[in-house]
Amino acid sequence: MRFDRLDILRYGALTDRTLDFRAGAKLHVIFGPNEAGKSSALSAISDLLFGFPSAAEQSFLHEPGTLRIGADIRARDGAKLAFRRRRGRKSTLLAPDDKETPLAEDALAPFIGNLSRDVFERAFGLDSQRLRQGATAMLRSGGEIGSLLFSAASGLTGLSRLRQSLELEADGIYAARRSKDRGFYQALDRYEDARKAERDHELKSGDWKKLLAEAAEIEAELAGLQAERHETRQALDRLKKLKTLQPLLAEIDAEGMALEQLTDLSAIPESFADRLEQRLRDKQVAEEDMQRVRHTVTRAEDDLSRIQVDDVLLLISGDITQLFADTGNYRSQRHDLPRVDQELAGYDDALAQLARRLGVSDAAKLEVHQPSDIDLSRLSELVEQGKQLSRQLQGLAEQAESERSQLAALERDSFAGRLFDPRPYSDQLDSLAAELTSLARLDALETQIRRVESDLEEAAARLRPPVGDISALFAAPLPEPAEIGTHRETIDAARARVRETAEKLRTQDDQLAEIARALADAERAGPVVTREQVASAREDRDGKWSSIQDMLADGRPPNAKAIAALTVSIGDADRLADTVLSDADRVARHADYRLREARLRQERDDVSGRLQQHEKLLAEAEASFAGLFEPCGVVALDPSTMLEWRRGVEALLRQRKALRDLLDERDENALAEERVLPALQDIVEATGYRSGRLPPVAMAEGLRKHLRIAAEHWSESRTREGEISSARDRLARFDEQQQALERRRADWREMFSKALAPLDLPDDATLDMAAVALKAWEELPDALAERDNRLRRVSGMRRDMADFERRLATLVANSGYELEHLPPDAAAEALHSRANAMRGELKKRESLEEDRQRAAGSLARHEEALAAILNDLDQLTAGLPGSTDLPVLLSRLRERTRLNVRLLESRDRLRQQAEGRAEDELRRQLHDFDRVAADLEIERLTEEDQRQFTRHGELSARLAENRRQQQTLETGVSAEYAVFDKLSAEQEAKDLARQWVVLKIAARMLAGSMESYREKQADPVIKRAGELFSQLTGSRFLRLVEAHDESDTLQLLAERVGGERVPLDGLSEGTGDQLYLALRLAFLEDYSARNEPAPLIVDDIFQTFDDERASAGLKVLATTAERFQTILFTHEMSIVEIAQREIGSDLDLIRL
Amino acid sequence: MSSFSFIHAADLHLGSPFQGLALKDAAVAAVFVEASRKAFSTLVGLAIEKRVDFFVIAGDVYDGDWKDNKIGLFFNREMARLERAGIPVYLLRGNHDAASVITKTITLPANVHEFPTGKPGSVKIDALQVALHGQGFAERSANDNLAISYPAPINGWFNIGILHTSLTGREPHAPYAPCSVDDLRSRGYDYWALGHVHDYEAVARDPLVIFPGNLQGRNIRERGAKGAVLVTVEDGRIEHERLIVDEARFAQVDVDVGPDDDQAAILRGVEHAVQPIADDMAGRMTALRVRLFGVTPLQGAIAANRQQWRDEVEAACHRVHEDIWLEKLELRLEPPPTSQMAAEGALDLQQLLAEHAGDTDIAADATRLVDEIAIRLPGGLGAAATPLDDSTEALIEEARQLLLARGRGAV
Repeated sequence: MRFDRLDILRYGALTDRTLDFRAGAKLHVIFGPNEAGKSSALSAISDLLFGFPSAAEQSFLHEPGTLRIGADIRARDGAKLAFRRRRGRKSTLLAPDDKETPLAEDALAPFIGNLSRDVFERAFGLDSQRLRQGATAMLRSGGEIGSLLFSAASGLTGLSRLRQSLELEADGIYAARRSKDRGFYQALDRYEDARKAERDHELKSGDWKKLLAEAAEIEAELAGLQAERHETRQALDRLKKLKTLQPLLAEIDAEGMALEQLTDLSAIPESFADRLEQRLRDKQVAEEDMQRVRHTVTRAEDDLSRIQVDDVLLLISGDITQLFADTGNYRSQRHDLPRVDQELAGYDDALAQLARRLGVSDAAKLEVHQPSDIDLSRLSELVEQGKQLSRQLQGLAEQAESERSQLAALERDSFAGRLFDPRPYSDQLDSLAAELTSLARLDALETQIRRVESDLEEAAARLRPPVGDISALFAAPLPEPAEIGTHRETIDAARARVRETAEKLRTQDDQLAEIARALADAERAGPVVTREQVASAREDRDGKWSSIQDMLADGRPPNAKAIAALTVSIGDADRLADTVLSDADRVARHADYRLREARLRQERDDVSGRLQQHEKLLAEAEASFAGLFEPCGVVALDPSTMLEWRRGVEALLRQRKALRDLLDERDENALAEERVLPALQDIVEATGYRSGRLPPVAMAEGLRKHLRIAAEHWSESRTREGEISSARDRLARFDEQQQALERRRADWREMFSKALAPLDLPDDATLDMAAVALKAWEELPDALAERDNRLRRVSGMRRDMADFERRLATLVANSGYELEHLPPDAAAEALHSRANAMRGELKKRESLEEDRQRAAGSLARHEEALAAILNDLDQLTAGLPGSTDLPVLLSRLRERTRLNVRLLESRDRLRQQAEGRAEDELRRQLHDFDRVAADLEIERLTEEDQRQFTRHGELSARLAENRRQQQTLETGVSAEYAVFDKLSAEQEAKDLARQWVVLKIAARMLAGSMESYREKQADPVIKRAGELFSQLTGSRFLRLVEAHDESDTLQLLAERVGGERVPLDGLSEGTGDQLYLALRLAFLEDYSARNEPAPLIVDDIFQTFDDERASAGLKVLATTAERFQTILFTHEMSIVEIAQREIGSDLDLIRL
Repeated sequence: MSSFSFIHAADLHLGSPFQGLALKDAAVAAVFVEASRKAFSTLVGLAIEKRVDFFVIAGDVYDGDWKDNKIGLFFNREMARLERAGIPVYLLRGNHDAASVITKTITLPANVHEFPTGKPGSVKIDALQVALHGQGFAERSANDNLAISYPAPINGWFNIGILHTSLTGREPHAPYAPCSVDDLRSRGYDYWALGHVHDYEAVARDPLVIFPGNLQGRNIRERGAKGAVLVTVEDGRIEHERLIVDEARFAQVDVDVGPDDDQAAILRGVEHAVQPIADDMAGRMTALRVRLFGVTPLQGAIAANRQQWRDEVEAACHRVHEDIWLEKLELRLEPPPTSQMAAEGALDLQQLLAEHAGDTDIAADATRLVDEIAIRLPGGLGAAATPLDDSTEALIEEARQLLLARGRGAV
């Protein structure tokens, strides 16, 4: 099918665009710069032929429903069709007129056959990306023809990889070798685990029955034990009971006997004892009370008789108390009087001293001479003024002195020598800064250069092989890495061949040795008789026979020797023949081994010859490789190392370049020194800097410091001049102030002399004298007032003391006591304490009298009560014999009551403990009860009981454990889980097995198809592809050839003009692209020969081709025109130009 | 005649494993593992709760001779529960637990009465005036018509016949103890409690003849709700109702795939088809088989990515209900017909494969591959006629589809 015309009516960015394809043209080139709608036109062709995809693409400009593409197409047989395509699901093929009548859905079938969009785009569409992909996959495949052709035919790339991926995936599931990583074996493991778990979790009926039997046994034993235990406990209880009851009965008997002793009291009722006891107790209490009261009366009367009272003292006791109250006052005055007297004397002394200080002869006259307060005040003020003036004058003098010494210091410190302004010189120095920096870097550069040089030498020495003379190395031509690579491949290939041949040789040697062993084995059973030996024996026999025949013929009888010899010969020949017959198998094997040995030896010689040849070739290759490095002065090692070496040399080159840059920089900087030095010398001279013979950089640094110090000196000298002048100004001002103060002091002296007169001071009195006098006069009034006060106090105190002593004397006389030997205050105190004692005695006597009367009344009442009690007792005991001792009677009655109660209690306890057994029966049982024997029996029974108890516990525990085990087994994890897992693993293994089989079948199917395709199609297609490839490469390659590789797979090789055959992985990328293009075109030609072809749509595949290859490519595309239409889209004008040049009038150029 | 009620169950198949389930989720697997036992426990619980007067089991208590004694102990425990509730049990042996099959014994509680296997036996419940007649299987295969030897009914009493039978044949159940409904009717009983057939079926109304079905479905062939029958007799009038006790279910849906359906549409179709199952499952875990039918251009892609599609379909099931698990995805899809115009040296991988397939070799290869892995399969699966469930032709076709799908990816 060919396009005559393409109408892009409404599609993508294009509207009403018509492309006419000139009939008879060999190549249609559609040129459109980028954005001209090239890609729209491309996809329009697919959409036109196969319908619009359901996604609304290409409708950004036009409504989806209005999208239209039309075309006029022609089949190889001349049939034509004009049609349009619209977007939609059904009836999308339309007639190309305004009515757009729908055409049959299969109207296109005769033109495009059974192509699908996918296949069309893959097989008849070729862009640079697809070309690159195809070529890359092809080069990687290693040239395996089946895969190559299949890929070229289907337009599918990576089929080899697909096959490998299927195999790999299958291998991940299962392979004959067991591996944990394979899913199938994991499923098998799960299956096995589940099977094991199933066995483990099964509850075996034997286990269960054993458990049940054990339980029954334990239960039976438990029941027996219970019965035994019951008996033991009963015996034990009986013995213990008897042991308890025996003492109780003994007690009852004892109490009965005691009661018999008291039978004489049987007439006296029980209640009598209580009444008797009450009366006897009342009598005793009453007697004791009366005794106590009597004693009280006697003691009160004694006390009263001992008390005496002084009535006179009691009468004056009020005055005594008053006097005693004043004692404190008297005592304090007597204490204070000497002190106040002393104070009075002190003030008299002070007044006498004041008089002396003021120059008055008698203190008494002081009051008269006292000056007025006005005079005192005026003098005081003037004294103050005088003091102030003196202070001011003194301060001024100190300030002036300080100023003067400061001025002297300033004048002394002024600088000596030359001062100058360093500013201009600093500026000059700064302008030299850039040059100086360059100079400073010189040293660093030197160091760096030395280090790089040594690095370079070390690196060269480190290389393998090491380089001694670097300069010589760089002077010589260096082999390129690609060249080394080529040599490496050659050498590797040669080595591989040598290795392989040697291996073969070894194998043959082994085989030869094996045959030799077999031969030896065959011969070990005895010498092998050969055919030659048999023949020779027969000949010998026949010879002897014929000589005998000759003899007979001659009429000579054969001599015995000859006959014997013949007999021996016949025997030998027969024996050998027999041996051959019986040993036929061994002989045949032997002969066979010999034959094989001979053949192998010949093969081995061939192989050995080949090995020598290969070794020679290897040696040549290695020599040629070594030759590459001779000019460099190194001995070549193996190619891989030399590749490394070559990369090392490359690094050396880079280092050497860096070294040269450093050297240039150093030379440049060295020039700066000459420029800088004169300028520096000028500055040194002008500033007086003593530089000596420093290098320029150090000199500049010294100068910089020198100028900085000069600048500091310059600014300090300016400041000091200003300070001296201002100090002189201040001194002048101080002199003026001093004169003014002296004038004021003269005025003050005059007023001061006048004020001295009222105080009787001399005119020339000093400031201090005036101050002393002023102070003394001020003290006088206070001293006078204090002395009068003390005088009044002393007279008052003497008067009070005399009054107290007089009152005391009166009271002492009245009381009649002798107290004159005591001081007045102690006497008053003694008197007072005696009056107080007398008042206490009086109170005591009144209280005692009251007690005595109360006791006498109580005594009378007790005597009456005792008489009544005695009367009651007599009445109670009236019926008893007269001589009865009442307390003894009472005691016996009480004993009788106690015994009766105890007897009752004992009987009661017996009843309780006997548990219903009568006393008589118990007495019978206890008749011959032996307590010691009973204790022993009890001990034995207790032990027995304990043993039974322990056993019971053990059995119960065992029973519980048995029940627990039953429970566990019954309700534990069921084996059903494991069975489920097992079945699940089976299912999984089956699924995985199925996946594996399917993957493996798929992989084989693909491999089989590829091989089958190759067998059927290879020859013509490969031949044609070779021709096209030769054209495409400008005849650098002649053709494509097929050859078997080491693994016996048929492979494609490209043959160069010189006859060299290049495997595909030895082709460059560009050549690979060309080869893939050749294969595709060859296949399409082949296909088109048998089918209605579709046009080949080529989109800018020459982007990466240079002009020469593009030109070849365009020419080749033009040669396919007879088989199918080729439409090339391009946006490159250069391609158009090449096409015009190469194809000329056969080119149909369509501009978009 | 007095009033009473009883439960009629059959085919407990205790100890029977679930077939064809490869559930990786342990929790889900546990539900299925325990389903048969739980279903029976539930039924016993219902009997006690409803205070039925007795309990009938018409054969196949056990799936076979058990290796794990826990199975017998479990049944014993459940019987003991009924004994404590005062409910007697009448059971007989079926083909799966025939006297010759079951070699192990657990002494059952006194409330359990087992019918003899040599001849028919009868039991009378005087208080209710009920007579039960039955005969168990001595051997796995009982080929005699057992029903016709059953004794005559007791007049005026309620007579129940218990029998493990396939009647005149119920596919796929093996034909045991064959008899016709007329044979049963001829006995003059009031109720026939049958077992053996795993689907519920009320075979006849007069007298009432019922297969209660099994208690729990165990594989994809045993689908739908499972349980027993509660029979109530009031003054001679018989009513019956099903008691559904299954714990987990099997179900199957067919999904039609149209030529224009994309993946999303197909999965929507699955969800739509699964919805009625979800509405019906009443909280039970369900193992679902999904079968995709129809013509679709996606056929190759689906075949090539079987596992991924399985996961997608299971996810779709889970979207409908979290307890629906995919038992199996069955693909019965076909590719759309292509215009078969002969093309030599074709460009299409499909045609290339078709033209250049050394057919006999591939078939031989496939057989060899199947043989290679089949002998490694566990549990004797490899001994089956088609160890991988499909013929080699089907496997080759699947491989071809896989290749085409992947080949498209290789462009």
